Amino acid sequence: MLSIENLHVCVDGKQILTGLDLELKGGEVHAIMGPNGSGKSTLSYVLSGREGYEVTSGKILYQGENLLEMDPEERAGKGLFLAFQYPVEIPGVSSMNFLKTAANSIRKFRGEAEFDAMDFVKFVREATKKLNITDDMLKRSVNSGFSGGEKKRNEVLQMAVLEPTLCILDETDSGLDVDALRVVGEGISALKSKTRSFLVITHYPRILEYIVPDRVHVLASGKIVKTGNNDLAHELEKTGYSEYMIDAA
Amino acid sequence: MTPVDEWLQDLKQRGIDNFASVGLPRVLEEDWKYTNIQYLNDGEWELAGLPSNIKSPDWLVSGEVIRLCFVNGIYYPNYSELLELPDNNYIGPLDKALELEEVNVKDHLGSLVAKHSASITELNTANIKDGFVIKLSKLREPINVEILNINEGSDGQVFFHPRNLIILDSVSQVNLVERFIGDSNNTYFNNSTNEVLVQNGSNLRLYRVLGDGNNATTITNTVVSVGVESVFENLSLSHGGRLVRDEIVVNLDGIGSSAKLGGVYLASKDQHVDNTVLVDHKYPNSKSEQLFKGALAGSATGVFQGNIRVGENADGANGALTNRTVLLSEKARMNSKPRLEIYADDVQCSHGCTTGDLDKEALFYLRSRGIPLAEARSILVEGFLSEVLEHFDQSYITGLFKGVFDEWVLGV
Ligand SMILES: Nc1ncnc2c1ncn2[C@@H]1O[C@H](COP(=O)(O)OP(=O)(O)O)[C@@H](O)[C@H]1O
Ligand SMILES: [Mg+2]
Repeated sequence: MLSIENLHVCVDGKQILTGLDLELKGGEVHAIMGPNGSGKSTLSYVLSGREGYEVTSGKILYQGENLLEMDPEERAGKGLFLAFQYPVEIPGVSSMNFLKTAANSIRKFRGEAEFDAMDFVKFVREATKKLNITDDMLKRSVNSGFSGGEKKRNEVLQMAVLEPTLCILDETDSGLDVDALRVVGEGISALKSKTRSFLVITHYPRILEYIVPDRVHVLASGKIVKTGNNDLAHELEKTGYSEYMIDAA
Repeated sequence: MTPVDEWLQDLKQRGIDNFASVGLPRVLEEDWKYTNIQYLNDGEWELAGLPSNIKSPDWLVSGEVIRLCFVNGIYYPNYSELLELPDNNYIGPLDKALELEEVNVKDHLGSLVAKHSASITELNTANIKDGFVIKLSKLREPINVEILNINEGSDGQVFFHPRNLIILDSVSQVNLVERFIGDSNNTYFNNSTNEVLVQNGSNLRLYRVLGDGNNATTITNTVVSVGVESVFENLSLSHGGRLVRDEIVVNLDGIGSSAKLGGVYLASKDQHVDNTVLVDHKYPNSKSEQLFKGALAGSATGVFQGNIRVGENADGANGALTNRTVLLSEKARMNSKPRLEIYADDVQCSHGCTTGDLDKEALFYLRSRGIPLAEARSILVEGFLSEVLEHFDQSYITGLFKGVFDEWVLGV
């Protein structure tokens, strides 16, 4: 599904990723944990194709193709989805229209029939119910004035609607209280399937109870410094990252 | 010659003399610093005539509505639909209004622009030929009016100078849509002037769509006096023409008078679009808002000159002014110039002007959801502009905007 080899990435002339390797197979769940500033979001942006992230060496294959040659919309069309750490507010664009345009863009890309308005409303209703998303939220502008929790739920809603193959979750659990975490966790858990892969970036093992990882990686100073199973996540919660930060220095 | 004819002759002669002494405005003048119309001095301009074949127009407003159609500045009754109004009220063409004593055009036409004399309105006065007059009093029911100014079948360089007069008195309400459309093959100069008096609890909502043909020059002047507890609203949607200058002067001439002015401008290629606004608060507790937003593509240039003046008697005045522009290309340029001039103590005034590119993060967010670049840009621009339309919330204008915008965005 995803194969990252010796990835080096520069932002604004600063080296952020320094030789990162990762192998994620279809249907697998991998967690990435690590201290602030270690390059987790950078990795998620490089994968989704944001401008300003210069790959100085290494390669990324997604479903056997060179991911780095694709525009962001092409990556999305081919099933890659990033739930943003900081979802973007877009005033003046209604959430419902945005969702429908996105869903239809992706269907078009895949050569599938587009939703008509009625079908789409029905389709979205299913997903919004599970995520406690009100009609009012759908009428409002995308993420505008949404609370932190609303924004995160909205990311999961988009993920449910766009039916991706590779889900990258960048701290989707951060800043949520227990109830909100459960809604988001169950929302994510419901999307698990044999063919869908997840890359879950997080600080806390609590989200991993909803989506249990096959592998847990520690990212520090721009590369994977340790890999283990789910136990590693719990260990890290106790010990913190200081060990890895000293290593980095 | 009737006395009214003589009076009109005099008025026009004064226009001719005043214009002759100053000519077209130059960029040396402060108000015209960013907009150069000197090219209008090249070649001869002739008053346009009616073509032999006129296509039936598409009207925007449905339901009970009074319609006046003008072709090349000339009233065209065949496509107009007037309604019977109670005595002493009038909505119809200028020439007929001049004949009616009770409408009393003579006392009003020319009096408002005289206070804000500008060479371009003198030129209009010099060439008065046709236009519409609305004069209502004590009509509580809102009246809907749609005016269509069409350019069609003109040859060479033609100009026309629509001259319109609106007087709303004693709790009258009018929703007025005024549209300019024209043939992009024709070179013409549309110089229209509105004189507006809204008083004693009256309310005028003016929606103007400036969509002249690609080779047209559109200059409009709207000079307004708003009286006690009266409201003037204007929403301009500007998208056509080679050069557009939309100038509005509002005098808040009564206690509790208010003005809400909005504009959306779209320009691409070599188009130039200028919104110039002056709101003069002359009385206490008067309120004004200006909200203008636009998108410039290609090598288009935009101008916004927003002025708020608060006179020394206008305590409790409240004025706000906002202008925001997105530039969709590196060559597009915007000159945004807000100005507050305040002579009273107890006032609240604010202004905010920004010009910038589309939000890159938002663009990436949309693309990361599979929305192709061109569509993502279009969604963002439309969302950006929609704030103005929502502020006015008029369904037929929003519908029209959608059509205009979708077509515009395909070409940029
Ligand atoms: N746009 C940017 N310009 C400059 N530095 C950046 C930018 N984005 C991130 N960084 C830097 O890159 C490093 C990694 O950031 P990030 O990937 O956001 O870390 P994490 O998500 O692991 O907290 C940090 O040192 C951060 O300051
Ligand atoms: Mg991060």
